[in-house]
Amino acid sequence: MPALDVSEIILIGTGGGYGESVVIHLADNHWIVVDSCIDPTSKASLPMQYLRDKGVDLSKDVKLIICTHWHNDHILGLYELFEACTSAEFCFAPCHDVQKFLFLVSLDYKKAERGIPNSSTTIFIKCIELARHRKVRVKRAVQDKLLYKHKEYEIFALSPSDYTLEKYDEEVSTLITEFGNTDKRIITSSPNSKSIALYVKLNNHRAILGADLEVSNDAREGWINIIDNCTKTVIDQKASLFKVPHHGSENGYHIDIWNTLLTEQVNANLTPWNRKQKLPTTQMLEVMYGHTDKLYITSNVIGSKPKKREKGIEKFIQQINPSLREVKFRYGLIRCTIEGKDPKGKWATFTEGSAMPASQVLREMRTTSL
Amino acid sequence: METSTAINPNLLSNRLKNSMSSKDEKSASVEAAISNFLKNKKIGNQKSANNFREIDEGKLDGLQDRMRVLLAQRSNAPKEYYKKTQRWFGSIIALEKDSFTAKLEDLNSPDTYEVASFDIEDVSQGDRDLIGIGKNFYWSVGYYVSHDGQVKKESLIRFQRLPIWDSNDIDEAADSAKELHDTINWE
Repeated sequence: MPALDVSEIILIGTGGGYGESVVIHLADNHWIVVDSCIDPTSKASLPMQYLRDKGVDLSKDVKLIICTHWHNDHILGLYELFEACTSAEFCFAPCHDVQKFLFLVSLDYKKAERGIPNSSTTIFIKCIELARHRKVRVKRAVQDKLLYKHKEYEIFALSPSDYTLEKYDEEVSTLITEFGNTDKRIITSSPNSKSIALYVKLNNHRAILGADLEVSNDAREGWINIIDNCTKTVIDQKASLFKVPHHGSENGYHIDIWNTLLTEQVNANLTPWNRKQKLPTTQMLEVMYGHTDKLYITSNVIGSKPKKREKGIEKFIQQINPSLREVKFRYGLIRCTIEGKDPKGKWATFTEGSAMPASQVLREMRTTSL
Repeated sequence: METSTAINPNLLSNRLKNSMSSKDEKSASVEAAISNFLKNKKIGNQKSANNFREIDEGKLDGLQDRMRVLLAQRSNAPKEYYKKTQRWFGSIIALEKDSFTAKLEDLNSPDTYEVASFDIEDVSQGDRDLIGIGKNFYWSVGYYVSHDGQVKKESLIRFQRLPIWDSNDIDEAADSAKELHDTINWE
């Protein structure tokens, strides 16, 4: 358990396919959890496991659970977590027409009863039902909104912008039309402008948690919008800790994010993505490493292999479909601590599991040319 | 030589009756129609077909003989089965010109998931119209033992076919969304 005046920001990664989560200790046992992820074998919520291991009283000390967006890689295990955190409030970013959004998820939830399991909507609607049952407040995140405050410790939403939420209304209608049928799962190709990026004020220090937010071509949303607007509102100083958005993808990078919003030699942490596409690429890792030496990743970017099976079946699968690859689970945790009251305080970084300095991954990637 | 595939219309009627699970009006009317049809046919008194080709060549009467051949095949043939089968539930996450990529949940060992690409040619002609983003299918690979004991390796992709929503389903989802919206303690 950290000292009461020590702030912590913990990034938990799973290797790419089973989600990521950020656990925040503001101060004085005020804990916030951003998203959830699981161990695919035990199905246990990893942020919940971390908090329990640290002796945090889940029923009292977790004050807010933020769902940055309702995608599988950010929501798995969220319901179990919320269920255990009995006094926590719940926060997400629906479109302006909330009822229409709830109709989409309700319709999708009904599909689960017909054999089309969709973890994300099922978990999401269960969380909403639980919030209603408990009569706890449900917060709608939108740019510049204060989501939580404890003394000199505050959390603000930097996104989504009003424009994004307006556009989201239309997108929800399209999703209902395209994926409303009983035999389709919702698959969205570019959902990340709706993601909730956060600005965390820890007394004298600041952190930015980028979620999956991308740089849009339209300055009314995404990172450019944050740089243009939030620097005049909630962003009062550069952040010395950065959770790199969207697994360090090119779409989540803009030089102005690093130059305008972050301190030099910022402590930057990220999780990889290991499906068919692999993130971050060697090139992007080089770019980020050019901004800071203090770059950490929750696990390396692994080349995927087929799953181990009975020999005959394994050989046959290899013959008929050699493209089959397992999405490996790799637990990794990066814990950064700082004394918020100390203006000269510096972040200390600790790693667990597969987490490591990105320089190490970069060395491996350069040799294997991933 | 004539085959002894003639069947008692009453037995057939019972068999069909037993296979009907629902007792609603619709089932009852189907039941009555089948029963009448069988009563009006002299099954067992006609020359029977050995296979569908004889029927298609016009040598024999259609429906009854098709039923006889089908039932004979089912009752007399040794069973065909699969052994050592690996199954997945797949959802299409990307479409290319001649192929698609799917996320696959391992139904034998549901822990980690997998990703694979499939050629559209791997999908049977009848299922190809069902290929699309978000569509779901079962994929099984394994050893198939035919009725004559031959062991073959087989890979089979079958797309899910589900009934479309009816107005009650839509109403229920809309009511649930409204109720949630109206009763949540929004900030």
